Amino acid sequence: MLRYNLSAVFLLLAAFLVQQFVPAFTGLSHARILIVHLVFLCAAVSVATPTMLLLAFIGGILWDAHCSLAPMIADPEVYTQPTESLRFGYSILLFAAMGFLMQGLNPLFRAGKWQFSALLTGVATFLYLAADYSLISFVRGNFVISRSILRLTGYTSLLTMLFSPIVFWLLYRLAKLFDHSLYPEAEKPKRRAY
Amino acid sequence: MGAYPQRTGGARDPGRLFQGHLAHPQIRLFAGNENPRPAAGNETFKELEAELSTIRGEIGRLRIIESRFKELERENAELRHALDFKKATDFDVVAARIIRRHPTTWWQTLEIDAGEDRGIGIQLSVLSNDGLVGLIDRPFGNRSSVLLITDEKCQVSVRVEGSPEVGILSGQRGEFDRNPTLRLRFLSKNASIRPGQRVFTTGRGGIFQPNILVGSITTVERGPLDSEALVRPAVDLNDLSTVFVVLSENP
Repeated sequence: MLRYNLSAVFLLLAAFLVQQFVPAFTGLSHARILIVHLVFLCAAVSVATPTMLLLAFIGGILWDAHCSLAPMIADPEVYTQPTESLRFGYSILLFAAMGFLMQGLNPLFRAGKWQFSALLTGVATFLYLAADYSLISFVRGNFVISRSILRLTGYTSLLTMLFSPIVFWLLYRLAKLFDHSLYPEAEKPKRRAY
Repeated sequence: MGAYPQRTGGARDPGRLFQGHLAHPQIRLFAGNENPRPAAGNETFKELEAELSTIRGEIGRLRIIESRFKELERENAELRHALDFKKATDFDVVAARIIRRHPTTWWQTLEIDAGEDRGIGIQLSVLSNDGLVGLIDRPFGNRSSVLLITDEKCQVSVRVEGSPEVGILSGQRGEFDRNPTLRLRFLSKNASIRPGQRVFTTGRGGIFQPNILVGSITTVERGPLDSEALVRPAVDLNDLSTVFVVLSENP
């Protein structure tokens, strides 16, 4: 169990490396595959709550380090309305919220029905992006919703979800490697049959 | 009369064409049992087959070389263009190549391959041959993050060419299309501006040097208190490969 949890942490760190090489699809309103979020969401459903929170902390803090903008230092006479950015660390809360959402399907996942969790990764990614954008709108003052934002959010969620079976397969292989069962409920009846 | 109908018409005659050019040993292969290939021609056939595969391989190799050549030609043209810009400009600039576009979800940024090791610091303006690109947001050792003018956070003090109008230009939230527009605010109520007029930096604010082309006005929106305009950036930010970071003015 501990070794599997550690491997999930390392997988999340590896996802950050991979994310650096994943380009945005210019033709799809700059949609992208959010590998980091995908690994976190898939891992969140397969671990206990404290480990999920640890993953949310690591994922959130590194994501903010990756995405934050430097503060604008300029003449206040010209820049009368400085544009606010989100505070460092807010992603931890968003990651944790999505982690709890994923854990809602934990009973089904433990029963071996990972397909529902795979679908939920798309929903969770969409909610994450929607919450992220809403927070930006909140701190910047006005809520603007455009087709390109909807396209970006929708395509990103869809593309991310499509890759979830691969991540679940990776987690399954890691669990097998470290003698951990991802689907304990699914394996129980088999043991009884023998 | 032979097996083929008699035709006239010289080289354009399809019958002659067939006999003369298409009746090749390899074409005959597909002709079935009507024209069986003589056993003595087996070796010739194999030789021709080997020759054909060699030629095909050679064509493939030449195509790769041609595509590489075109790529080098394009790169050469870009670099010449960049060199011309560097010679012509009054600024002390560092040329850099774009290595990543839109690394984050919501911010309009890109990454260049020059950083603190080449003297780049925070909030230096970034230009291209066509105009203003943005400013350095976060410099690292050997790369830097550039905040584009299409981002909402990048605000530029600008003036409209041929008019006394000055305003603040910034990107618009949620503009993820291929051709984003910028919003020019704080213009006077009856601003005498029209689509097509160019917009230049004023130099106020301490970040951008004056008289750098930013874009041209596409739409003017008149309000009860002030006017606003939409500006199309002069630089095609989706088709940009080399940029220049301004280290200082008039070296």
